[in-house]
Amino acid sequence: MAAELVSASGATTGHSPASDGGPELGFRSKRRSQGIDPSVTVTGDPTAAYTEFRSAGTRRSRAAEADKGLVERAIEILENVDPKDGYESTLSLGALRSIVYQLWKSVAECSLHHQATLAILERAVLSTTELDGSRVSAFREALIDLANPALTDSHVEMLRSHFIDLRSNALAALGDLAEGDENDEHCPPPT
Amino acid sequence: MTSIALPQPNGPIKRAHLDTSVLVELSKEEALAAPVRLALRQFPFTSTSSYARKEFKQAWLKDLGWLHEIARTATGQIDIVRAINNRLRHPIQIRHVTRCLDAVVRFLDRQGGDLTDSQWAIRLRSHLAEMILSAYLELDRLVTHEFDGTQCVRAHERPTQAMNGSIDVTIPRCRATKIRCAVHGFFEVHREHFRRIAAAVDQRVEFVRAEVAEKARGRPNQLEELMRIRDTIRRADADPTHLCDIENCSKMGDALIAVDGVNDTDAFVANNDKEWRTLAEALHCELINPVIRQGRETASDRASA
Repeated sequence: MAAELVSASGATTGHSPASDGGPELGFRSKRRSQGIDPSVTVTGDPTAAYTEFRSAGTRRSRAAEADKGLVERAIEILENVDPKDGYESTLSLGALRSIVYQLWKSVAECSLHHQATLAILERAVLSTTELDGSRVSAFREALIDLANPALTDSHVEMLRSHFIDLRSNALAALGDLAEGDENDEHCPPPT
Repeated sequence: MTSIALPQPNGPIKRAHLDTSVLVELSKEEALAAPVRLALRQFPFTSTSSYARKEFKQAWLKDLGWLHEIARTATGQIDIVRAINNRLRHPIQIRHVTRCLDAVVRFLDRQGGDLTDSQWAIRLRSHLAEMILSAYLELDRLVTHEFDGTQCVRAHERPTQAMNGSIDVTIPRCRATKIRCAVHGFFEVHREHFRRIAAAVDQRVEFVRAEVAEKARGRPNQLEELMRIRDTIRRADADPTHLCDIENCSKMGDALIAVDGVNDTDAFVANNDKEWRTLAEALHCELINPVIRQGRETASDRASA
């Protein structure tokens, strides 16, 4: 295997900060850290409320897995790419695009989190013309996340944020928009 | 490009105020966004209005959200095209949604392959969802400051994804009977600015009418939006709460965005010259359009050429 499949963005997901050696957080602190107002009174069974909170704040996915062979192959390519070598870099990017595309066959059966992760990665791969160190590192991180069978909202959000920082622009797919009223802001809402 | 001001090495910090159209360009592929970034490099301070966020959502994210909702149950591209034709009635809606779908499909087809119809639909759906969810996040980072004079409640409602994957990009209708923003107060504070815009539109209308009569060829749509802005300003001048209905504030969105930043900017940056040229003249600001592409002008460019 080209790399140990441990994500840089939180890796063995689903672990609480406490289980990772971080400070133990109380329920109210956890709610606050998740952006949920702890002063909100929860009525009914407190256990049920906590379960509901966990599923809303850190919902995780465990479903079918991405094709690990393809993921490992992609990571291997990325580990060997030399961004300064334009020839090799172009070949690597082409191979990477094919692998990412092939991954849809397995990821289509996976969770929404896996599908979101692959979409983030594919958007970046399709709109990238040159590989550089930061992109290689980000692609690798996304691939490692894909191989993680238990992804959470946090993984996807961190990845999304990271790729935006790398200028994997949100509306990249609209670049090839046909001619028309590009600023048709008064279009009646679809019904 | 309409104009590019020269940088002033020792002068005050230059400030630019961005329209929705430019925010959209900055969100597109880097090859298209790069010229805009280049034009903005001379402005250490860039701003927009929170109202531009609402326009962004209304003009683009809603259509993407609609396609996403259709793609959630579709088994292939034919299903989606059929849904566009069967469920949408308004020709502008059909054109807008179809253009979005075509662009996204062309982007994804850069890597041709052999996915089944359902895998293809899942791939499309996932990309649409990511576009919507990333867009608001990206908007937060495109400018250094966002003015919030109108306190548009719809602008601050971020798209959200439910556990079942559906995405909420709806913009519920605001009504004057239940005011939730400050657009009426904003109008009162900036009444003079808005009156100047209405007067500038009058001048522009006169000028174009004379020109059209002289050249004996009309461009009926060229002034439509400007006249809509002027008429809405006139209605709001009599009763500012007229703007508290989303149908009405939307008619003068460009004017609201411009006035929101007018006191703190040196230049407006916009892609749709036909409205912004008049707004910039009325508010005595420079106008920069960094988006005119070689061999591919926009409808707005053609209209105002």
